[in-house]
Amino acid sequence: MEAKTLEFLRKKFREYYLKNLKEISLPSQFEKREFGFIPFRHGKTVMVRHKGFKSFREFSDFIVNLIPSDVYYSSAYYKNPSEEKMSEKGWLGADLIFDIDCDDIQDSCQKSPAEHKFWRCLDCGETFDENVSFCPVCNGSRVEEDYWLCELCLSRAKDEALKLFTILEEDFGINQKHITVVFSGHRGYHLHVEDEAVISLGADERKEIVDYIRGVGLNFKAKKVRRNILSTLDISKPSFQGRISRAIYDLLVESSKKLLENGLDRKTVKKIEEKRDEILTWLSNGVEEEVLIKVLGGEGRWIKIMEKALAKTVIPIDTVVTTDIHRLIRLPGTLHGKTGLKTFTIPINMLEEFDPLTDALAFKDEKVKIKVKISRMLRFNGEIFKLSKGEIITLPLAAAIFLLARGVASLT
Amino acid sequence: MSRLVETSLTEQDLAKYPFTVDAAEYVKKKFGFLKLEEVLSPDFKPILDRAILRIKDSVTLVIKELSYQAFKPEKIEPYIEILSFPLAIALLKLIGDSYFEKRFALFEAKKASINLENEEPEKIVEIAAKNFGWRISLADFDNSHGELKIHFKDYLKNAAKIREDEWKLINQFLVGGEVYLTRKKIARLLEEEIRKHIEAKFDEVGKVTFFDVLEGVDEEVRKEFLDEINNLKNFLQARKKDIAKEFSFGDVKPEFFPPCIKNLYMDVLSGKDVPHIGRFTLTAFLIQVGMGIDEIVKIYTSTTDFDERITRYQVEHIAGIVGGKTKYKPLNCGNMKTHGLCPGEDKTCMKVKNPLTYYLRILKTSLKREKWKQRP
Repeated sequence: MEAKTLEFLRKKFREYYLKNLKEISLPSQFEKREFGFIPFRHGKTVMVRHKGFKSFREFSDFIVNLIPSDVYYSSAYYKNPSEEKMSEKGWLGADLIFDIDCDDIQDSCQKSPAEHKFWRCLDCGETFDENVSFCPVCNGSRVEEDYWLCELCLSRAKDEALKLFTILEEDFGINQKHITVVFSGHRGYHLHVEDEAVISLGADERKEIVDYIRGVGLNFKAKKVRRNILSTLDISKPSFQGRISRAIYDLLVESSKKLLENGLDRKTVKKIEEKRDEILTWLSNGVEEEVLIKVLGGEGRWIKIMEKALAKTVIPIDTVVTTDIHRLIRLPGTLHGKTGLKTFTIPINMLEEFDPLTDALAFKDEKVKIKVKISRMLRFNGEIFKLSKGEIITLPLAAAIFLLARGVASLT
Repeated sequence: MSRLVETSLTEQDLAKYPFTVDAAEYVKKKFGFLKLEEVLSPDFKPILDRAILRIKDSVTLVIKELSYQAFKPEKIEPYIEILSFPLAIALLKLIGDSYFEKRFALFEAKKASINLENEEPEKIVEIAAKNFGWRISLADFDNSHGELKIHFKDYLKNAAKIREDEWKLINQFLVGGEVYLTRKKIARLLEEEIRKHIEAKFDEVGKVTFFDVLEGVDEEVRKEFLDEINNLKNFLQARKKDIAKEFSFGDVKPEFFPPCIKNLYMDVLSGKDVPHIGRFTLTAFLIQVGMGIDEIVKIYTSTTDFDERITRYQVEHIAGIVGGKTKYKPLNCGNMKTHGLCPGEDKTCMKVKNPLTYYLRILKTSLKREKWKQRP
């Protein structure tokens, strides 16, 4: 990134922090948390971490003084948060954190893989819409792949966050008021659970929660397990029992052509066709699996259907984030250094209609002239901009900062 | 943990569950604070005898052969059964070998668990809530998922260590934060909890020496007691040797194992919880050095989640007899370090990259030495 751009971003971030310190809400028991910051600088990013604060004042002074590009805090509570050695920090517990990232979603996106990426020459900073093995501008061979924000994936990620919220409430019995849903500021959503029940869980125990949510290790083939978790199939039941019943319903209601596309074999589909109405009624009123197995003509077919349905109910949460009991996570109210968007706590009643590219904008009012280095469509605050490489364009500040921070534009 | 004053536990129940707070209260109420002179008096002889027997049982009875019938407290005065438990802990502390402490904790936990399986659900709830702070209650659904429900936190704290798939959270009926379970499964989880609880008791007591205990005790009583303890100690040591012998095998020489494998081996033998990766590497090692499948399976009998069928399958899998047909090797030293299984290197370790090479190297040297000794 050019020095001029870096300086401009830092100046704008500074203005944001001076005006919006109130927007930052320190996490509960912040005196027991470790904080980490990435300063604006050229070259390699180095995090300043093991910081601890006793008061909001101390924290805000630090931020205003440093003007970091990114701010993190620990999901963990420590006796001595500013100790550098993990063994001496004195781990007291940690919030349960979930991360739903576009990375884990884009495989099933209807847009092409190339639309989710762009390429950048590490030598001259030139960017490209297509993969190149060497830079046609400077002949450099160090070309790196970077993500391009996909609105479809972001919207899917939000749906998954909503699904996860429901599972935490229904299956895990966690009170709404202990769950915070946060837009990361770029490509994902975080859910923070601050409930006394989960704080002391170790990594192995969190791994079990991850597997539960990702649907790993479910032993459908064992009748004993099935009888236990799915004694009746009933779309009105709470938690897993209802969720899988609804997924089975949604699957079987599809046309026979769709069922075949979904990987069910001809014989199974024929059986479903014959009895579709009855099956759907049963699922609505509650039915034992024996009845369905009989109608389908085999346990194997039933298991296949359940496996297909299961795939629709699981959530692709990041496994590492949740099992890491020392994780540093973005602090809500601060800015994301790669986008200039806010890491934003979304009130639950707003989650459904939340639009990150309108609701998480940190910069408003001004306009800036920039030179874009990429040809893409960009929608910001409801406006659509058609960018073409090499063009000089005047954009609203938030959109301009986004492109500058992504490294796909320069100041004129 | 809230301490309820009332209890529905009878004296007989306390005899079955002498690790409970109620049992401790009972002892306090009935005997006050006991001094050693009192404990060593003839009145207490039956209790001392029972305590010694408890300890002996913990190293002689085969855990998986325990049955509910074998432990009818009616056969013995409840107060003897109750008091002999803390006394046994004190005696073991005097002996000061953590191997026996672990055996004792495991044995007592298994015993209690077998009794709990057949206990009234209400009683299970009381014991789990009062002693271990579990959020547990009677199931409110139909009983098809089990008679009891516990908070997922209490479930995970004990079940995450059990390796069978059947115990994974995803294979449980979980609604509103509560896991629905049968009495049998709850008893199994409580076994984990009780074992940890008893092990922690040993740590609480701290180190006890003969000098501290016997200060001011009458000479004769003192001698008698010391004799008892020495006899017990000798018995235990002999038993430890027997156990080691039971587990010594043909030409495999445990004394040549590298430090990491030695640790894993001893941990498994003493019933300690060894992570999966540790079991894997130990098993692969033992297979590679030529130990038989049966012998390897036998080694794992002391582990808390032992299931012969599953263990055998896993051992056979690592041996390449079933499954992918690959005969696995133990992790190399770098990976052992990553997983925290390397206790630190000795001289020979410096020269090798895999625990197996260590063993073969030492073995070779020793064979050479033997040959040299036997030269004409």
